[in-house]
Amino acid sequence: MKIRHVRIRNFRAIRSLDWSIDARFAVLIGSGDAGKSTVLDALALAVSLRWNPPLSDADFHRGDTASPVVIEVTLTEPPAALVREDRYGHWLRGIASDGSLHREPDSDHEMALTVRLTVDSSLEPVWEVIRASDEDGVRIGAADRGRLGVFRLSDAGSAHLRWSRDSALTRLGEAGEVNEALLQAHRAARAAVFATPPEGLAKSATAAGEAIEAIGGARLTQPRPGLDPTAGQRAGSLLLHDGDVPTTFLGLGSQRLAGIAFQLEALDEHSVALIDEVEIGLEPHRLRHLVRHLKRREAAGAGQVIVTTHSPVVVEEVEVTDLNIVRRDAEHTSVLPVPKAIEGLGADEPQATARGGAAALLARRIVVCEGPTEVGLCRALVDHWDKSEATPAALIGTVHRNGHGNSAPTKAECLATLGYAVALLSDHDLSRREQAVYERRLAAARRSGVLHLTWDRGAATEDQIARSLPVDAVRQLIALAVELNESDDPEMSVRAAVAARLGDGTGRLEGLDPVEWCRQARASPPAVRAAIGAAARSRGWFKSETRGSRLGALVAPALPALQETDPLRATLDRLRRFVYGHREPECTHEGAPVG
Amino acid sequence: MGTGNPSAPTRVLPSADLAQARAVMAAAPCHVVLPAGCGKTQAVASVAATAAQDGRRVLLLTHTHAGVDALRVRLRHLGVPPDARNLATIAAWTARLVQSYPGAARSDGREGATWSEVCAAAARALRNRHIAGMLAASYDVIVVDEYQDCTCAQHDVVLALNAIRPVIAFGDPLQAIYTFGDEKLVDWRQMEPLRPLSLPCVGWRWRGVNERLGAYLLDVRRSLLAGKAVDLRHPAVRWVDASPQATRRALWASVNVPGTVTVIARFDQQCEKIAKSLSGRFDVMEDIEGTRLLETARLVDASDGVRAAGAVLGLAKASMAKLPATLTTKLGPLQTGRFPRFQADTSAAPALRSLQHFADAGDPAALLTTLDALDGLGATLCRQEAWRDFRRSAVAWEQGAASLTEAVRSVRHRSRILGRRLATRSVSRTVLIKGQEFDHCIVTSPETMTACELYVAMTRGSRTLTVVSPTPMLEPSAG
Repeated sequence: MKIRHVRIRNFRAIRSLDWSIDARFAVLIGSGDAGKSTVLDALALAVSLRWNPPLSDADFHRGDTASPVVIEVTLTEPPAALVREDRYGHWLRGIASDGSLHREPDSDHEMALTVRLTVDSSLEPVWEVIRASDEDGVRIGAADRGRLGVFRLSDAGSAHLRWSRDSALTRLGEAGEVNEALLQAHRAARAAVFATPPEGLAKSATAAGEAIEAIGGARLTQPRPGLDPTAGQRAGSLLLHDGDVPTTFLGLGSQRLAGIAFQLEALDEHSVALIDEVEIGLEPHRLRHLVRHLKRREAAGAGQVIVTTHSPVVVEEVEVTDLNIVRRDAEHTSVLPVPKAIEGLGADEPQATARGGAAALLARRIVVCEGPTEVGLCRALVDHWDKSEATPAALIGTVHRNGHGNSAPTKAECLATLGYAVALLSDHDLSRREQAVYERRLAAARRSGVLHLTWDRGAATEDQIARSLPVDAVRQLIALAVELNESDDPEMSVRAAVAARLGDGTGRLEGLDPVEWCRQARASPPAVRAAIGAAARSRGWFKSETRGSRLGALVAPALPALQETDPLRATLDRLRRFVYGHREPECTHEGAPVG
Repeated sequence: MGTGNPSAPTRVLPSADLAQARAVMAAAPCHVVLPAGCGKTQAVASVAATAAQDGRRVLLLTHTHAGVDALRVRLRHLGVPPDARNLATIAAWTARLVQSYPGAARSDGREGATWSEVCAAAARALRNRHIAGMLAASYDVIVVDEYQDCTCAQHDVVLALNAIRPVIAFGDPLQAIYTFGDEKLVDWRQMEPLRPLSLPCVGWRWRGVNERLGAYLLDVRRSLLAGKAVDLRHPAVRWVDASPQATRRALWASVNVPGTVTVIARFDQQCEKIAKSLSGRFDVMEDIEGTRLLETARLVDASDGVRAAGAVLGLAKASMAKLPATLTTKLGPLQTGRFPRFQADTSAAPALRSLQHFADAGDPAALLTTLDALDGLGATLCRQEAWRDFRRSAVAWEQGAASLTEAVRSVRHRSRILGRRLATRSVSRTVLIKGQEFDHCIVTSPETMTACELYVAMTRGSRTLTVVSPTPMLEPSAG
């Protein structure tokens, strides 16, 4: 079986969703409350073997029971037993090669069945096989829904390590033998207690027997302790052991892996397996292994696996085309399958973007930074801003990622095309030849809706910071450069780097105060600031995420002292508004507003 | 589809039948001709039972509800579980397919499509890859009974089915007695790719009972197939001259004969006349849908009170002999919508009073009172089946059926499902008794029958055959 189309209305967080899928392996990603798990819940409710699922008003969108919950799941490759004329043979639908759903199958369509679950305010679920959303269907019972072979793998703790009712271990073997083993064990235990009752217990039993007789209640001829014949026969008391050690002693991750393994083993190859938050409890290497294992089911060419994840490890491990991005706005929840290629971008750009910054795909708003300095800067700024913002950036789902220099605009464009809100923070430290290509990429990124943040023309990040900061902050910047300098004489090294850029003034600089440097070098303050900026950039004073972040910690508190029109402040104010999803006061940047 | 044993027949098929059924299945696609009384229904049922026993599923198509009922009884007797086969009329089956897949059938779904249009649409649907696949998943073999009644359009449907799963067609061209307007019936000389398969022809109906009659009827068959007249001067058959006295004597003589007796006539009017002349000893057989009851019920549902009362009286007049003339003469006025005056002291007065009450009230209770009053007149019932089911329908109506018409439908449907019990002595039209079997059979007005009708009529009795006709040499009518 293969789930090909999902239509959901008014189910929990989802007001409306239409998702077409054609993959045998699908990974649902998206920010925290986008509704990934709700999609799996909906699938499990509509098409798996459940006799009497608990439903409540809370299952309706916003708790409003006036509009019914509707979940429609269309599957291809249904089992022959369900296609028979006396089952649903008169209810076949078609899926055309473009993925569109049709009331009847044409010969060149794929044949499909649609199951619809409707729940109205009576909370009575009705399952039907239907031909079209606006038509009545024919009822389908739990047994036939079970035959559709959709299973939600559950995380029932140690339950899957036990031979209990419906556990995977039981499904792997003979259910009858479980009861037999328990019955025998219990009889042996009863016999053992009867055979050698502890003396104290025997005494109290005798005393109890006499007391009952004395009060005229009953006459016990042989009062003695014994095991309750109805106790201890729960099927779940049979547990998988390794030698003498019960497997419940394994770590949580191992237990969960074992549970998944048993459940997958109990499924036939045509089944559809649903796994929510596949990464729970697993270290990266075991998670990678599990994902590869699941992908192997895909390679078998039958059945389907649909998982949700918050883990960048999973995003890195799978093909980018396995990813489906779930997003929610007020009206709709959408599921966007990530395409293999995006027009206008290089081949496999989505794959490169995903592997180069998997965590970003799990966010909502992304700041693509051109280099490590900018990444560090951003991090420090957001840390500082978070203190005064109502909602921390992490909750909004904003992350920043390294765009790796020249490819940053392409990364930004790719992410914007995938529907993320993207800002690109870049500077101008390129050669003239590179500049032309770069400008073209920037223009394309802006057309895709990327918010482009940058400095004065020709200024690199370090240049702009040295140019704009109040003089006290420039002193701190020099002190930080000294602190981070790894040469034998850090002060000397920093001073020399600035002096070299002041030309004639070499050798005349002393101390670490830039105001003094103006006097000593007989240079204007802007010239000294330019020299500091150039030194910082060319010597790579702040060229790492850690160093950039130290720089940012220094810049952040200094910003309010700057004029709003100052280029540093203006750009970083826009960055702040983007990160926290605030509206731009007016449309000042060239690209279309996003998010 | 495993040979899962919950679905295996509980009763064991005789080994000869099993062997024959296997041979037939091995020869599929094929067609089998078996004369009347030679175990055709048993052969069809055996194929289904054998298939079920082998874990194979069968689509079993026939033409009439009567045929469906006969096969259902036979299959139940052989212990074939309902989920191992699908048994339906070709008409119902094709209509459902077209209704489910109007697109693939390229049918516009309009009302009033002719049966041949429905068949053509179904044949188109069957060429759809997925519908064909669905049927291939549903069935291993397809059996069509009463193939002689297939129209050319239905034959095309069967050929389309044969492209999906092998078809086995059973029938007898000499029993093609239904007509379907202008639609042409299938030509048995052109049955390719359903190859002819001969089975031993054993007259089971007459075996150990009246084998001489069985042999004679095979001769009759040969004559009729050759277009020759049938000679009734033969010791196996009793020829009665069609003079009124001789006819009456022959009919009355059958009243006390042990076993089941049927008198066959060509038209319902003749049947009613014969039943009335026999003072209710014989019951007129109704068609399976209960057409006469439905017509009455529709009139009751749709008309004003007086005409509704007229419809009830009309049914009573058709069902009873010797109703008082003071009652029957009121039928005409009632049917024109006028309730006639009547004298309060005649025997018919209670019935007329209740009819008048029913005309006013129009409710089920008043109808039941009317039926009681009509029963109280002491007339002779000669349409017991119709009258009994009408009363049942009235009760169902009173108990909450949406209308009397609906009540009739459900009563007739229930008696079909439960298997209808036929009267020991019946008068019937030829078209109603195909596939039925009686101990004694009296054929009247054979000179008006076609060769096929004549053959069907003559082959109904297993013990005796009496033919009432003006001459002992029967020339079949051209139709």
